[in-house]
Amino acid sequence: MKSKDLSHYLAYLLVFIVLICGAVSFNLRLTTIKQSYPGFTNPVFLPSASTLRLASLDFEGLAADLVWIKGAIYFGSHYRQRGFRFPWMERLLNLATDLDPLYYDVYWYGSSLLPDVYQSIRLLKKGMKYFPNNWKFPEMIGFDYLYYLKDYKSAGKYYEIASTKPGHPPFVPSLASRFYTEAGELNAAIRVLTNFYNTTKRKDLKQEFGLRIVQLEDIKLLQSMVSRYRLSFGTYPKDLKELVDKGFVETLPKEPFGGYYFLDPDDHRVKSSTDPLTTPPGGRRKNGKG
Amino acid sequence: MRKVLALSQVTFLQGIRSRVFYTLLFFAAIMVLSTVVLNQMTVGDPTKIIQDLGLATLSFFSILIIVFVGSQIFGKDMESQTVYIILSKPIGRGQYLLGRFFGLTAILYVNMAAFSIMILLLNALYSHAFKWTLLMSVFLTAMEMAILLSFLVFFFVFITPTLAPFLVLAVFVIGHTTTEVRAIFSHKHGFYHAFSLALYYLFPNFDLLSVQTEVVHNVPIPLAHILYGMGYSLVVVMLVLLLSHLIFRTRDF
Repeated sequence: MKSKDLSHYLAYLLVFIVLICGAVSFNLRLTTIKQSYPGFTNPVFLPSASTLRLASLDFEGLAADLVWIKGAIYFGSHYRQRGFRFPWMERLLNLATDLDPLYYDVYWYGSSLLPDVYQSIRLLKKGMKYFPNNWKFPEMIGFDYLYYLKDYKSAGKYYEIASTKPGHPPFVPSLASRFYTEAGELNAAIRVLTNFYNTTKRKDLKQEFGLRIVQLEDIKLLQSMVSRYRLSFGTYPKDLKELVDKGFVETLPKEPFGGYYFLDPDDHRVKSSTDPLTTPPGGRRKNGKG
Repeated sequence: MRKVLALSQVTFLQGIRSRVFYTLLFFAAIMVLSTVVLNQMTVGDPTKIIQDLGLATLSFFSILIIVFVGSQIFGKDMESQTVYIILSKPIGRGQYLLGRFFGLTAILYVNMAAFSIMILLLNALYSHAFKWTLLMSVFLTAMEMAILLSFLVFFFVFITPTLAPFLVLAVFVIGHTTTEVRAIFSHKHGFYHAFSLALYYLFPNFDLLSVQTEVVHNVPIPLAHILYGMGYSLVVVMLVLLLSHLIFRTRDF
């Protein structure tokens, strides 16, 4: 090869390298500018689950792993952006769980990564279908209803479902009954406690839950008397003593945990001073006696 | 049988000495070890990635070994006309095919055994226990690879050596997608439905031999699945090898 030819080639190579470097640096600069615009989201290409399942050639588990990692990276790269709504997150997690419905981590951790409580509930309900004996998913749904949506009835419902699953801790039926009580669903509250009372073998729990059942039965009775009082006089009684005075009950039942029953003037519901979700008149005392 | 064994031994040594084999082995090892990096990027159970990627790599590189090492050995036979020399010896055509088939199977299974140990060890490193059930998936993958090897033999005896590896890859893809394709076109009538049905029944269904996801999630695999899987593979392998023999017998050399 002549030296002239060689220098020609070298010149071409040099120009080529310079052009490539130019294209790359322009690309990087443009990407930075594009990402600085408000509301910018990295486009996420998400094929449908059936397409990806077909393309994965029966390695759906691996495909689900990669989608889950993509989800984790997607979360990690935007979580510092204030107000970012993670528009692709639910689809990513749904895709991962469509590919591998038994992927426990995606339901469990993924439900915490979703920005919207309804999305979280949807994902956990999907998880419940594939893990029918797992108490954590319905418990987490119940928590979402309670904490984010203040929906005591639904919270109670899902805590009750959790209380029917093997391995659940005793606080699950206990909370289910409390949430049902708070929602005014006394029959449901008693049902949860009775179920647990009948199945548990621990004596201490049996005793505690037995007293709780008595407490709720008392509240149920007093509440029905309050309703009858209202039907008779067209107004609510000022306090529970009025029920005794007007002959609706002979005496007020003894609160089994050492507290007392009272009528909440705000919602006219009978409550126990020992219920941690209530504030008895005059505030709470240390011994729980109101 | 002695002749078949002797040819298998030669085929095995030919394959083991191949540079392609070691290159594939090297990349497969890198791929399995890369799970350590991927583990850092996930949330939750790290062993799932090791098992998923490990089993996928095992399968993927096994098919590459069939395609490259197998086609190298058969290609040499056909193109450099070694097959004339072999068949001029007192060895039957059926014995030749069987010898090559068993030799290639041995290469493949040695490789699969090495990788299975690697996956088991890597998984044990994170979970502090050996997950022997992974071997169920490896076993069924081995059955699947035997079917693909028989197809390699089949394509080599009546199609040009250049095309055969691609056709084996096509069988691999079709075998893993027929169930899905059939489901997609199940609600349609006419050509597409008939075509998907034809694919489903004409090609081996590898979906039936795939239990990776179940094994990773500790779903119990009944022994019947393993036994029927083995039976299915043996029948298909015998069928394809028999067909290959019939075609090979009619060929003039």
